[in-house]
Amino acid sequence: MHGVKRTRLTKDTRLQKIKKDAVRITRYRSLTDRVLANKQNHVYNDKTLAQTEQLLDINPELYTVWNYRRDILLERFKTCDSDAIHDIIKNELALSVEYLRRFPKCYWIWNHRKWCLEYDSLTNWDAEMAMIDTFLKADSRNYHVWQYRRYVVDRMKLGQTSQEQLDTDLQEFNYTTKMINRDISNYSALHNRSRLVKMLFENSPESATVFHTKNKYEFLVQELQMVKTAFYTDPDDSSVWIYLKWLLGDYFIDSISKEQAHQVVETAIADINELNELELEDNGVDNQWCLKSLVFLEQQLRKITGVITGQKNAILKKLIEQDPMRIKRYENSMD
Amino acid sequence: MTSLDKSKHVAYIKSLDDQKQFLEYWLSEHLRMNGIYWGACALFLMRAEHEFDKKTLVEFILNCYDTTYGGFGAFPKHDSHILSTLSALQLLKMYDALDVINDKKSQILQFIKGLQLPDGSFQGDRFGEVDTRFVYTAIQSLSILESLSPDVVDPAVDFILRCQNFDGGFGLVPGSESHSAQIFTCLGTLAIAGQVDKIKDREALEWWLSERQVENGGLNGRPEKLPDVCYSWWVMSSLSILGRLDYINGDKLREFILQCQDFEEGGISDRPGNQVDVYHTLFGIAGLSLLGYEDLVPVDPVYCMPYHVTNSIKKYPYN
Repeated sequence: MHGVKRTRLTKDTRLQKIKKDAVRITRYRSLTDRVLANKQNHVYNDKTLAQTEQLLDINPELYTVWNYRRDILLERFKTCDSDAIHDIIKNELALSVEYLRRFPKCYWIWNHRKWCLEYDSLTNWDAEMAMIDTFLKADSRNYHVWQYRRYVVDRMKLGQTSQEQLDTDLQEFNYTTKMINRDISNYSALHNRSRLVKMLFENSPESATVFHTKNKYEFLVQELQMVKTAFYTDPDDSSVWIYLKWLLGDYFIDSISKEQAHQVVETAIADINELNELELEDNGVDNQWCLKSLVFLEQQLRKITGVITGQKNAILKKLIEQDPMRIKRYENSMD
Repeated sequence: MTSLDKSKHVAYIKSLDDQKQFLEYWLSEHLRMNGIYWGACALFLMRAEHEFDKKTLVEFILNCYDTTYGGFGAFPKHDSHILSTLSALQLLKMYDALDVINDKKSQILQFIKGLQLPDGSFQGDRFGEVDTRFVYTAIQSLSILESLSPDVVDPAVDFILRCQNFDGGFGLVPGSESHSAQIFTCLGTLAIAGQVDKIKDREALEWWLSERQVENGGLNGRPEKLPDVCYSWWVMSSLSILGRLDYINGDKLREFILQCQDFEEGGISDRPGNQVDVYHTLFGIAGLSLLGYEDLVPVDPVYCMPYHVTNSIKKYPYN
């Protein structure tokens, strides 16, 4: 159980609940018994299909009943052409959206939706994307929805030319920009952005304007500008700092020139120091995320230049004082 | 100073089967096998495993065996699923009763191995849902049955390694966001496979995991999320597998877990003041055990069972 306040039943409310539940339990159990008995006897018809719906409506976590429902559908598909299958699946999708509104984190419902799409050759992908967008508006970090989005995009791409696939990835990249602009602390969007950036650099043709391998440096400079705005907006939000760590990590640093690498890391260090000064003025203490990032950047700088400064240890000492929860990690990082 | 109220928690776990008057009891049938494992494992860690009647338990497990597909369901007449199959095997292993399935072993193995897909991943059942949770549960199940082999393990390891992300963490499938619980399943798989050394960006992973501890001492599952007792297990077992249990502050975590106890009726909740359940009760207690607090039985971070149980599992690669 997640996020449900603890309540105590008084003697009276307990008795009332028992009385009320007794009726519901009888109804629920007799329905469950009927459905599972029909399942065992392989009764696949409209009536048993409707019964699964009745039961899942009360408890959508009953994976066995989802399985039974799918077996009934599979039986029905045998006599259907693709149009008829599409119609059945449209109905399943509508049903699952209804359940997902009530249970947006139920694995089994999301899984049923995916299963349906595997059998449909006429899926309206725009409708799927619109549905996903609605759910991400309701909860922009819902793990299941992001997962489903990636699945749908992959499915869409199966039917596309390589140029169309690139366009789709670019659209997805732009979507993460939109989500980040809406809320910079959306780590799920930043995660998706990181993988799309990699994919786009890998797959884009020589003529590409943004995601052209030779442009990695230009992209990085632009991206760092966005990150800078973000950490100035909310210096305590960890999402963007983790993303920064990736941008200035080996993936980019190893594929641009040494001078370029030196310059981007130095600039970031200067920007973060400046922010930390402001934080120090405002709050009287260093910003821990600034310090943590500086430790990493000092490490990267050393990797690029080969020069060891005392900076890293000095920052780590501050962190040991100010963030005692992670002392051991800081001690291990000391030179 | 607050401590772990073991007798209350034992009583709470025992009371879970006396809730048949309440609808919630019946609405959780689909999780019964897992729930019994969570309860039993917590009892083991508190040295109170005898509070469950072994005979009744074994009968229930055998009643959940699904002859059609060869695995265990979560409840009698429910379908085989890899999640309930692992829980059943863990229960039998903990209560030293694996011999009751001797006649079914080959079907069970066939069920589990039959779930592996060409890319090395495992589906949870015949309907295609793929998740690193299922890779872990399948690999641990095979480990309990001492039936791992390179043709199963190596592709599974390759699949797990493909699930690592830009931040060093692991997700549900390749491409999905890092999540502490999925990281546990990935590291657990690698540990059972004896291939933890294959992890890349280990420093980034350790860094990310240690950042899960928030100000009140609790751990969260992903950046900018609320802390939750269950991550005391998912994060700490992962750090333990990496040999970095000291990368967070154990005292502060202990305090957070203990605050989540229901001091009147027993049990542990996700956050202080919330409704308790058996899942958070186990993972709170297991977290405390990993950290060596409260005189608990030491728990194996890879299997989530007591070491004295897992010590007797023959470890892969077999000689």
